[in-house]
Amino acid sequence: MNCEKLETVVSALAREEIEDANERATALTHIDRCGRCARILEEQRRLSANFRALAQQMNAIEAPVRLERRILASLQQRSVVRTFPAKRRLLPNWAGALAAAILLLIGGFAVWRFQHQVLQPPAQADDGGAPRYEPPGKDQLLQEKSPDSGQDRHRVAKSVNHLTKSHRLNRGNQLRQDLTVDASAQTAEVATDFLSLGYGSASDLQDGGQLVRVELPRLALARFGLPVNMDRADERVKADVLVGADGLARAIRFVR
Amino acid sequence: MQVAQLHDNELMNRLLAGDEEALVALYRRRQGSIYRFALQMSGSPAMAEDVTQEVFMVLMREGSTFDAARGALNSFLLGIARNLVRQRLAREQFYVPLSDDSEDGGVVTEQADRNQLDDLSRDETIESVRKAVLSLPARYREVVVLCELQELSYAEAAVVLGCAIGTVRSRLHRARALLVEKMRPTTEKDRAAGIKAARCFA
Repeated sequence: MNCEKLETVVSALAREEIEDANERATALTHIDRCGRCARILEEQRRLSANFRALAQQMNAIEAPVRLERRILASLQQRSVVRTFPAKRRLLPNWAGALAAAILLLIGGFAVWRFQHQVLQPPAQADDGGAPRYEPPGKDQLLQEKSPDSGQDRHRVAKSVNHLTKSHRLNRGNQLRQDLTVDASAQTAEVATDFLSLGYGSASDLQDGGQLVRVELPRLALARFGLPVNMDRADERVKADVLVGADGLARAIRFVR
Repeated sequence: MQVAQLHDNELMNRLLAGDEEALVALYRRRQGSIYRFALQMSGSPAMAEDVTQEVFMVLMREGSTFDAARGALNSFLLGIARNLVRQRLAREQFYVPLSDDSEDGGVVTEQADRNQLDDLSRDETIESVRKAVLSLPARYREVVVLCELQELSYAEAAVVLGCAIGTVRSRLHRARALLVEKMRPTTEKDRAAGIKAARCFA
């Protein structure tokens, strides 16, 4: 072994890591003969001893106690957050706000209607021959209409005796109902606006139509974007369906 | 069996299941090693404290990434600490002042005309070693801290550093040579330079 070779193993020799007995003996033999290499080995051994002393001195060093308190506080904070996990959102945030705004509008519109209690005069027929509906009287019963008759345009359900209303057909296939409540009625009904069912157009009703009172599962409200009280999902809800002369349902409104 | 007596891997399993006691036990068991590593690497108690805290924050957040098959938990935690220390040192450009008298960064002052390693008190010697370690480049400093001061094996250090065992050996060898050179008295360095060409071809 020469000095160059010894330099490659001197640190392992100082750390007593050379397991090969022959290699170790060869290295030590060279050291016995070479003062320079002996000095290098001595420096390496001293360095190892100093490392051990430094490690021993620093083994007494611990992290400050306040660090444990901080970590425990963070852990407890994370536990609180875990206890109340964020509910899984099925809809984006803006959808919830939009739904709330729509409900507010519907509620506000209903309140406005109740407050005004205006008996709207029958609307004039629109240009283009849009039909005109006379507000039904209190004693009106559901009247069958001959499909061929173009005169009888009043269709009311039995249970709307307490209501006075006028229907006005607008162009664009949209029904708008001015709803009033007969204050003298013992049992007043409240109904939504007519919601188009998408069959045909408003002009199809020139030949007349029928207003049919039906009962539907309450879940049908959801079909039209209306809120459903799930506690009463098994119950039925009343509805008036506006059926054209051709037998196709044109619009529906829900009644309470 | 008390929680504090459980093995690291069992404590990790409990920690991942939300057991607070497991985290406390792990912290108390490993905080010293992490803190000392960060202190030995940075020389800054403040940085060591921040790093130690962050290591356990990471453990709480990402403890599921620990794989016992790849190494011990201590190596996993030291690996996190090592990365954090390097990031902070790079950010703060940490500098350890060396002796002004030494042009090559040696620790021993020029006034010494004798071997100061023999004459310095034990504490001064240890302090000089500590400063010498801090003056090493990071890639050499970390192998010295892990293998010499933390007393990890080559295999454990290799897991921490994410390199081969042979790389750890070679870096440690080079680091020790640098440290011996730094701590050698100036007169010794002059003498060594004068006889550098002398070789013993035994």
